[in-house]
Amino acid sequence: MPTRFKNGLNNSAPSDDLSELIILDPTKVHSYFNDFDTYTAADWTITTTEAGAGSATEALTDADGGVLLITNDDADNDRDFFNKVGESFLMASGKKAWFKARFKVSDATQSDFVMGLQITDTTPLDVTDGIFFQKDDGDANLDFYVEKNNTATSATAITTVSDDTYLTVAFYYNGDDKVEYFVDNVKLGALATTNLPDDEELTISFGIQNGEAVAKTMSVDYIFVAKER
Amino acid sequence: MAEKKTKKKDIHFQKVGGVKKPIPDPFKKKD
Repeated sequence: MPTRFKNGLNNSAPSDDLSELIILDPTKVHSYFNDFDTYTAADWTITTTEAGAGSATEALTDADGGVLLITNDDADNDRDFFNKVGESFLMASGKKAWFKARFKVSDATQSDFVMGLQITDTTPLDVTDGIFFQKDDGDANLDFYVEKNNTATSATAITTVSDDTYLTVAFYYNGDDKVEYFVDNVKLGALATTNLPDDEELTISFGIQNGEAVAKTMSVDYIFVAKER
Repeated sequence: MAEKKTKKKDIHFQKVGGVKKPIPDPFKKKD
């Protein structure tokens, strides 16, 4: 049975402008959530390489939950990387931030991929600023980076990715001294904020690169980002 | 007869709002 708050529920101070609001104040955080029930090409800057016989594609696919399917062209190192247009998340002391995404890749070993927050960049596998998960070609190990001005604090091989198997990745910046990272809802560790990218805004960034001359795919179920105002 | 020159195929693109434009090779692979 649900708990019923028939008169509403509020998280504002009595003197706040939204103190009488009967739902939780949505302006407490700046948030982004995309369940990929819809996809608008104009929302994204996509950097792609198509040395194979065809072209990369990115489109909604028929799957429960709403899924964006990214399919590379079929040469080795062909790739398709997304930056959401408009960098809109600036990490700042005193402001907590959260990121969570669910996705899978067709080949956990013969691929490179990134998922997280980065600056808008045509080289997301070699980006200079961001907080993101990355997997390199040739292994199935997921790595986590907190990087500023091309200097990173990282945790390598935090988990092993499997072929065609969804995983969730998440991180939480406590607004102070650490960035905790999670996989499949389990906290695996935390990094210091020595290289927290706090001098420029970040945007949602993800994509996949082939590790061999076979078209690889990435399926993105959802992406959530929030930061305290 | 002069050899016919064919333009090298563009393989790197940026799509903004679905519009595809060739760009120079931007990637430096991290192995």
